Amino acid sequence: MFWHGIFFELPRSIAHNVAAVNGGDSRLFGLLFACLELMPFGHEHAELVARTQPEKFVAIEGLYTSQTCAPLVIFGIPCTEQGHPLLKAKIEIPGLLSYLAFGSIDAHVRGIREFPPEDWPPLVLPFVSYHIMVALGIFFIAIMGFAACRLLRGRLYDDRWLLKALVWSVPLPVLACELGWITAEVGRQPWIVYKLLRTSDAVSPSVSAGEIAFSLALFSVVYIAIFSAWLSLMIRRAKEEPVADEA
Amino acid sequence: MDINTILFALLGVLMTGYAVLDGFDLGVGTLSLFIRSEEERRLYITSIGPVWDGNQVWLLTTGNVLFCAFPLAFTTVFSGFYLALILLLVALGARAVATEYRFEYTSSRWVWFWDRAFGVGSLFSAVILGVALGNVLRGLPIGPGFVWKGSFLGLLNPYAIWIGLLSCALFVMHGALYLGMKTEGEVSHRNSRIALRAYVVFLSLYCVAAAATVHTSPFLFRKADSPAFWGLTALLVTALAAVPIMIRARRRGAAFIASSATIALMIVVTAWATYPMLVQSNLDPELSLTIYNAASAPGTLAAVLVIACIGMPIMLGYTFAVYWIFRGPTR
Repeated sequence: MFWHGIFFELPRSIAHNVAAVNGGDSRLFGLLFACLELMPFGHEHAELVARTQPEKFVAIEGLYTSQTCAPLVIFGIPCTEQGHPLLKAKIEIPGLLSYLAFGSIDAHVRGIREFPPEDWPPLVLPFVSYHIMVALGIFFIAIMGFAACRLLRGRLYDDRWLLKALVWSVPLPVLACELGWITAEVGRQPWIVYKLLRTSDAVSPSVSAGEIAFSLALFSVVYIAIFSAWLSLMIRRAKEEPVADEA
Repeated sequence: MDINTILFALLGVLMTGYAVLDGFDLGVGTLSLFIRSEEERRLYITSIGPVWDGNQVWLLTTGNVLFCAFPLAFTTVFSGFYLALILLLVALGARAVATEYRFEYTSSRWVWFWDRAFGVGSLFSAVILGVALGNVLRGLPIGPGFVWKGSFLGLLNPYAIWIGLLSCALFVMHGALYLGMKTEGEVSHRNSRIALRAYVVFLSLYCVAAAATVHTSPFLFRKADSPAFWGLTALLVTALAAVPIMIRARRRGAAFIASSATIALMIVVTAWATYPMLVQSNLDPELSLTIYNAASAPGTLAAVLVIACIGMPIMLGYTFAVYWIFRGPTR
């Protein structure tokens, strides 16, 4: 609740005050503060995962060996050769993972090797999707913050490249959302109900693989069709002359 | 009365609510397939515009209560009906998207396409729901361990398809009565005439289906000697008889209520006849799913009941609110 107050309500009231000064451009500040919310909420969620699903946590963070002063991996290429997971070309900040997850840089964080291999989630996909998602979140904050600075100086509409970057960023939150789902759902494997029911035991015995493949293909076609229709509508909308706000 | 029975009754109430409410908007969608004028199709979609998605919530809650309260019945039946339910989802999805997208762009080809999607989606939904119900009435191939032993093509048996046609005719009648009530002038008159014709088709299909049910599903008539069975049946016959009388008398609201009562009583009679059975196994009656052997743990059942006691008033509240706000004819 405290975090919610600090990071949600306070920026809102600030945004409202800025809006009073700045008129219609307040939406940009709204978006900026919406992005800033990502930090506390994301952090809180990761802390929760660290406590409740440690295997998922270390898989997405790329921590394979148990250690105190565990580092936060900024970049790495996960490899799982012969059951020996390791990160190549990694860039890390020492101690930060221990601090973020358990509040002290000396905290002991269990690595994936400490868990029985049959309980490991896949290591590559959740790691990659999680890191891209976090990078996108930081990108949102950076680009919105930058745009807000330019707006305060009255120069926002002079930067064609910035405006273009903002336009092309429109689909990125959707991408970030999907990556988050991949992180959560692949990262929770091999369990469908954590520690109670394995995904392999939850499969319907009477639904064949062919039927699943058919439904997946059908839904893909349907979703691509709906997406194309939506996209054509959006493109048509974007090409229309902008109309000034009534307010 | 134990908690299993209460939740069985809740399932019946939810299914009845769904069939009565979504029944007419599926019917309206099916009827829109036969309308040439784009303006009139717009009127049809607008007449159900504010209410159809609320109506569909009743289907979701039916599925949810079945999942939470009687998970074995849910898994067995939904696995068996897998492809059928996927097709139902696509059909329901098509009409959902169509009702929104249709109004977003004015090209005649665009509107034509989404109007078709709306109509065909409605027609398919009405038929698939009927076919599914037909299969449940007939009994399902449930083997040992409550595992489905049937096939997709097995679902397309003559009896189930007949029930599919029956539900389609019923929903068309129900939808035409709704349009008769919600529109004015020529459209209203025409739909009252259509409702009367659909009634004749429905009644003939129903008589054959009733006779076929005696033959295919004797287990539904185990309670045929009890007065309640005949009492409910008498009510159903009264409601059925009231529909054409009210149409002829031009009492459109009453005709719609009579057709709603018909749908509700058909489900109540069926539910009463099957109780305490949920799904009959046609391989071995011992393998049938009942409200006891398919139920969740007692704690879960209690939780479902508590959630239903909170959720049902909300659902009923907004259902009444939206119909009240959008009362009066659609133009």
